[in-house]
Amino acid sequence: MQLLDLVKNKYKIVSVVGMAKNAGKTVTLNELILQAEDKNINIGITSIGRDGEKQDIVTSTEKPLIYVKEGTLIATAKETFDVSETRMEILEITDFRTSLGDVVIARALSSGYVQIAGASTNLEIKKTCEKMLSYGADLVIVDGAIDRVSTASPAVTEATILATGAVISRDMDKVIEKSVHQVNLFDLNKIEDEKLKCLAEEALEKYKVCIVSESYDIHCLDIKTALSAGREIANALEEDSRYVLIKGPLVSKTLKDITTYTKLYKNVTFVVQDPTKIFIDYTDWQYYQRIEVKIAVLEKINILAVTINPYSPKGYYFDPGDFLHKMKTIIKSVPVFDVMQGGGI
Amino acid sequence: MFMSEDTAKKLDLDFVLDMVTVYTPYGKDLKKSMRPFTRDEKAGLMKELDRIAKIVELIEKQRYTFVEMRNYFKHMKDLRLTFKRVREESILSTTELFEIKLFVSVLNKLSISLNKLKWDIPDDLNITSISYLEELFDPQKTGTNTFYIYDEYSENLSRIRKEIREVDAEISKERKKVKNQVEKDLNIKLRPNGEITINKTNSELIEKFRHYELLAYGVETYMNITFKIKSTSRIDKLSSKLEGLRSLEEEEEYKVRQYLSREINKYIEIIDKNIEAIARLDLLIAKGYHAIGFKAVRPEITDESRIYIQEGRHIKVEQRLRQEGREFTPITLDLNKGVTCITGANMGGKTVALRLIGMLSAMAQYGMFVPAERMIFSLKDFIFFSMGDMQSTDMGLSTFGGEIVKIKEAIKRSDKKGLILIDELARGTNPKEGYAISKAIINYLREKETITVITTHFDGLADDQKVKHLQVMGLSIEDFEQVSQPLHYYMDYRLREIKDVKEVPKDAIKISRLMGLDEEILKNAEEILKEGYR
Repeated sequence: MQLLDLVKNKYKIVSVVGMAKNAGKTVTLNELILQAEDKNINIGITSIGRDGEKQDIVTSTEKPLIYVKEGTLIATAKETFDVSETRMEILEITDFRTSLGDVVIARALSSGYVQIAGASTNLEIKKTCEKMLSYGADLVIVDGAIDRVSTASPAVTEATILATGAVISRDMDKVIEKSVHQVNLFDLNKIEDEKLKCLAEEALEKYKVCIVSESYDIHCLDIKTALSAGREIANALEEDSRYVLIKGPLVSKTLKDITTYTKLYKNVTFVVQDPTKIFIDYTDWQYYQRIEVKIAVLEKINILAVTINPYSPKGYYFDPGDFLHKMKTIIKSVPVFDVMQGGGI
Repeated sequence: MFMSEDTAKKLDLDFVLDMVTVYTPYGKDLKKSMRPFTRDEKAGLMKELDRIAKIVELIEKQRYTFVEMRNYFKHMKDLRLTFKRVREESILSTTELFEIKLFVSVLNKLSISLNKLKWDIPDDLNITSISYLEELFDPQKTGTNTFYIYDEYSENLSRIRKEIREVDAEISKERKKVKNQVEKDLNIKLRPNGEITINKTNSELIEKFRHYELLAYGVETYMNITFKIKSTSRIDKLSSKLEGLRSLEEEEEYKVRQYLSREINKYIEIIDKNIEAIARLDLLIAKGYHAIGFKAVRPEITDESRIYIQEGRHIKVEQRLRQEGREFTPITLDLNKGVTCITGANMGGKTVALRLIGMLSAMAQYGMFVPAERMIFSLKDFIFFSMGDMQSTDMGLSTFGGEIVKIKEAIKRSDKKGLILIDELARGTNPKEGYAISKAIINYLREKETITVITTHFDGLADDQKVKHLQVMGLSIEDFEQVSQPLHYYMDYRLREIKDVKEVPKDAIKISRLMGLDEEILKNAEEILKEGYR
């Protein structure tokens, strides 16, 4: 089975995210693109950009070079577009502003390498993908990220492929543990209560943290620093509080403070935007499960497959067969591929 | 200075201008540079108001065309920097050229829309399409809104590209041939890019691949070796040829971009004129929509110092009331040079009346329609507004001092044709002195050219034949048993002119009674009131 078979005719917008740098995301991405091109599927490519004017964020993050064929659509910031060597027909210059200029949508008229740096908000990425579909792409591939710098999330795409690899730890068991943890997070309970969803959407536009009571009364907190967030939330919890809505990342320290300062946490569900906003490691997660901390998401991530890279640029590797086998045994919900192995996967 | 920042803020000028919705970056800049017409620019103001009247008439008749035009406006980008580069004879990038192509096509669309209006359009508002540039950007005559450096721009470019395609095709063909050969010979499947990765433990296969002539050793990691299809000498030759062609193509594209940039420069003056026209049109249409939205009318201009407002509305207060499900009571008044006092109980809308006078006067002088049934006004040299700061907890001398510092400046200019609005004059000091100072200020201002309006608690201030006295109608209820709604339901915010000096205001006592103050106290207050007037 090929990676593409999981996508073809099922999804139109798919993202690839890496658990860390060098986890093999670019290889997975290129593999997917190659397979699609091989099947004459018209593709569109964009990436989730980093917001913020900070130059260091823009320059230090990897913007993978991607080889595109004639006919492929891309959506990338003006500055990266202008330096590309591939001949491209400009279809549209969007209003989606990034620190590298507005996002340009173009069609390759010849094959060659392009650098992709896309829009940085959920809405803009969604719109970019839809625009590419309307310009004739059959499948849009989004180069995504799980990190705290991105406000946009792969949750805007219909399905996601997770790239993981040896780079995460020298200990294979740890890599597997972390990867499984990530896959499980992707599958976290989604809030189905429409009333709550509407409330959350509106409130989180303005506030970082809001507490919702049994009768849907909403109380928003003006949290000053992430450091003190846990204590402030703990103080604000009441007997009838049912949900704590959190915008942005949820870190272990916040949860720890809340559970230390109040016992009322047992009555509430912590709600984050989507699973990529949770930064709690496996051990802590287990602990919170044990003490009955409930966490849910507003948007789920539909995970399609996990790709693994048994090599780490730090100078060690796992036995590919062993690694793949173990991953497959433990991750049963989705297929696992070794993108580094063999001809075709 | 026409008005200070403080006055503009208190008169809610920001609110008024925020509601004037322009869409283009050019219109936004023009709006930012809006300033009031001066007294000797009456003709200019008349012209502007005429234009708004015309555009309002057109919008009401052909709304769809305006929706269409504003939709074009919404998508306009700021190209002034690009055009500056054109003027400096810089060579534009492909994205810049694309944006100019869109700009030129929007010019055409706008000019078609304008034609539909059947409006004898003033020259400085007219948009001229530039068909030469339109054709220049669409050499294939497809009418599409996409762009690249088309083959049609240069025979040379077309030839180079044709060659690139041929060489490219030949390389692919050759590669495919080799790939097929390899897959057949070794009975393996290569990746689409012609690579295969083998685990090092598979030494047999590695040995085999190493000695196989069509595969080359690629990258090696700790565990794997990646083999690649060897490029044949023919592929090598073709590749280097391709490389050379590519740089030729780039050179040629540069020449084309240079040519296009120069052609645009020939039309730069028409482009600049169009940008100015777009800015003016955008703002004018915005003012037109503003007038329609707020049911505003064209103010009439008179040369004698006067402000006549018939059924005027304070649009910000009106909006807030509407959110509460209430209606704004329109205010009618006629002001001449000299002093007018507005009296009435607390919560009676004196301050709102004052703000309304200021807001409508400012709007008129900024060249906008005003929210009223009718307004007659004379152009002013300045507007001054001093508001008793209700929020200030410190009502002592410092508040009073601050007020006086500002009023002093306004008084200096009172020989000019201005508008001085003072809310609760001298409220920040003790009543006796406050009254005396207020009276003196009024005596000073009542003979001046400037129109002064003062709201006050001090009743006696208006007891002067030379001072016009307006009073808020006040509570319209007599039977206190009937009160079932909040107090403001019974307030009549309209103003009436008081000619009889002896008339006694009663609202404060009425309100106190409604609020349930002890009847004995109220009786006593009424007696004191009578004594005071005896």
